[in-house]
Amino acid sequence: MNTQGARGYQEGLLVDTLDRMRRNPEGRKVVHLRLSQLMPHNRTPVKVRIINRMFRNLESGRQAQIFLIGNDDMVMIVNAAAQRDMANICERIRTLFESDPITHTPAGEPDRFILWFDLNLDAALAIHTAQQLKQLVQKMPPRSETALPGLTPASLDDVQKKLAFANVVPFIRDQVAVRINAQTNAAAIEFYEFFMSVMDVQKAIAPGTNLLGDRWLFQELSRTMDQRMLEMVVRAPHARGVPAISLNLNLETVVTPTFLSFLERIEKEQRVIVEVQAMDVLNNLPLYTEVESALSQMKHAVLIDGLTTTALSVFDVSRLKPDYAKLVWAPELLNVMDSKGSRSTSMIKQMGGDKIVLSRVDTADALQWGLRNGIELFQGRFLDSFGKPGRAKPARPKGAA
Amino acid sequence: MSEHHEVVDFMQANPLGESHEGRLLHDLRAIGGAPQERGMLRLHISRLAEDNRTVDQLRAAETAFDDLTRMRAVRLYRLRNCDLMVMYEPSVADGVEKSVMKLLRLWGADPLLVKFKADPRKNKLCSWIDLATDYSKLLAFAERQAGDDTAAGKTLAELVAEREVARANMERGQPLTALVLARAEDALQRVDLSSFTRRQAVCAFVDDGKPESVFTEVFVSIGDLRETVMPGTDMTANPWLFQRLTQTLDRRVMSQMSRKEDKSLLRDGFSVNLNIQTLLSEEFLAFDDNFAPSSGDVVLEVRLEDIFADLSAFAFARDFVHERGYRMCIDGVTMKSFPYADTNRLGVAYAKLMWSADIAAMVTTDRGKELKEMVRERRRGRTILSRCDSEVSVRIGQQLGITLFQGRYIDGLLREKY
Repeated sequence: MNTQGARGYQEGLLVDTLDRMRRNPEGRKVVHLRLSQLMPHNRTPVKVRIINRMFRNLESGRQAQIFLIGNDDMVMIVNAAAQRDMANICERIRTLFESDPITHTPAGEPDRFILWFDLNLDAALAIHTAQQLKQLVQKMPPRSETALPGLTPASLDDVQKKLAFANVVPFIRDQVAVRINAQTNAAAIEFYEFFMSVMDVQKAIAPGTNLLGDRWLFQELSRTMDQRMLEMVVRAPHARGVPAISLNLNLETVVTPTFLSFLERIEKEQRVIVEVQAMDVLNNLPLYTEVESALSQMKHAVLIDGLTTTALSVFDVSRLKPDYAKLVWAPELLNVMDSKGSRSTSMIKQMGGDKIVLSRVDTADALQWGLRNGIELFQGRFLDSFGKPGRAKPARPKGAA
Repeated sequence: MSEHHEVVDFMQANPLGESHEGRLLHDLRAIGGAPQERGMLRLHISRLAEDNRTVDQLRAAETAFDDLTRMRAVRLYRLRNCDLMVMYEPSVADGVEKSVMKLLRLWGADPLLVKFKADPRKNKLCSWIDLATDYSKLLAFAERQAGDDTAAGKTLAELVAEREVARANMERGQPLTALVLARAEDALQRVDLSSFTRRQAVCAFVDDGKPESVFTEVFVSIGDLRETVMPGTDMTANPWLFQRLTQTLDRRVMSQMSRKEDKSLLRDGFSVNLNIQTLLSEEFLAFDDNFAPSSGDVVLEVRLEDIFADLSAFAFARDFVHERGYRMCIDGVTMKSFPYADTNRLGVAYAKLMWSADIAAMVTTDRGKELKEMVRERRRGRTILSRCDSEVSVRIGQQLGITLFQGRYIDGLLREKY
């Protein structure tokens, strides 16, 4: 794979090579893989290197010449015999990024992610594309590494200590979850979810560190956040007078004295919903079973958080018998539901639509999709205004100004 | 093998039914209509001094009731902790007392019985249970023992208290904290891992009943490493920091393997435990340069909670390593998490179920049938029964339709073979 050279060298080499080959194309084709169009989180350096590597066998077999473009795109010149293999690898890459919009092609439109050129017929177009890439790369500003460093064990210890004494009330946010009756369109508040804004914590306590940079160290930090949340949420003015409070917690946090004293301090009749991640549950199923049963004895509830379409395709959440499950809205749910008997449909049936919270509902489309598919609970920016007015006050009598 | 292992093996190898606790639950439910028509006795054998719980003595406890079991007037149920439950018809209550007297004599010297050895009804070995009044309590106990999820569980306050006691128990060592981890990771940079690296084969039994190695797992003995790098630390107390530690270990293990370029490993096929994040790192790409599978199998073992921590990262990593010719195995699956470790749906080659006595206890129950069905359904991704320390585990695994095994018992068979 050609990687060396000054800026624009690879691209210039590509232009020259294509120009040379146009006279004798021998059935070769050119593939332009537009990795630069992926969402930033899909375009991390290591993912790009992994993709580069997937073509290695074709290259070492001298079936393809590969050019790594400075904007992360790849251009491959492929011999006639290897075009099927090339297509297979490209389609596998499309699958790897199937949640990325660029990999989807609306019906009747040309593919925007993987572009093929036939050197017999489209040589001019291929060369034009290569020249454009060359110009683009030459104009690109040098890459600057501005990313904040992630947590390390030592910095985690520091952040934990600071967090233990910080006033976290200003970091506490809430979002309403609403139950909507599809027939009557009547809506009622089901619960308010309270959570600590990680960005706020980061700004206030560790401005030079990306708290989310290391998954497991952040997960450990979240245990400290749990403790502080339980101590402080009852003092947050917006937690008064709400019928039910939901909190994101580590399972382990539920079996600490802090959680017990939190339960003692909430208002009578207030219901508590503990939101846990599937990962946490699967890490300690016996504990989940115990916590689920103990909470239900007290008429409190468990919610399995953060389910995506992928999650639904690999496991059956109803088996965990939670009181609620939270499905994250994503546009691909529209496609998933088109196929009858899909995992999401069966998940809604098995759990019961009355127990499913569709979250990140930011548009009317998302809400409508949920209602059409029997979901009754919704959370997201589209519903937020519902939670604000007249909250914690008795309902205003009809006809009052 | 230690005394304890012998007793455990005896209990597994000599079931009166395959699963006593399951059967106890079943029988208790069956007599639910008229529980007062049976008597029940619990022999607290677990309270006896350890040297009074030899295999011979456990056997003697059962033979003491032989006359009555033969005429089906008494049924015995062995609990996991060696205690014996005795269900009897009221007409033979005298006979049961006589049998108990035999046992009081057998264990008369045990501290538990010194003061009370004359009265079969009043001693610390026996609890006589009146099913007319305590039936539901006993049923709840049996449900808990059989791991029946429908049973009412403990209250939150009880759970918290249990945890607090466990935390206060200094024997477990100090918990893993961020600071301890920082020191450990620092120390890890200077430790030569090769002395902590172990190998253990995963085997299939071929037609003549001999084990044949399918691949060999290469792993770092965390227990030994802990003693060197962070003695006295209870690493199980903090799963997330432990995961992070394994991620740090991953890099060291990969670079060590790459340095040695142990090509014999490649020829025979091997597996190595890695985190998903590691599979998406530069270090793995370097490892891949050395070990991308050509002929032998290279299996990458990942943990179920790691998979679920970020399913899209998992899917990306899986498709990538499959593309490079590796296979994947879900590691550390328990009987409870097995339903969620679906190799078909997760698209991996193997799932590694850890052997435990619980599996023996439920093999003939409905849950056992369900487990067997899952093993069958997931033929495309095969189940490996790991931590097989005895022949019993292999036998029960085979009853469940499992064909791949790993553990000390298998190691022993392989040594005999060569």
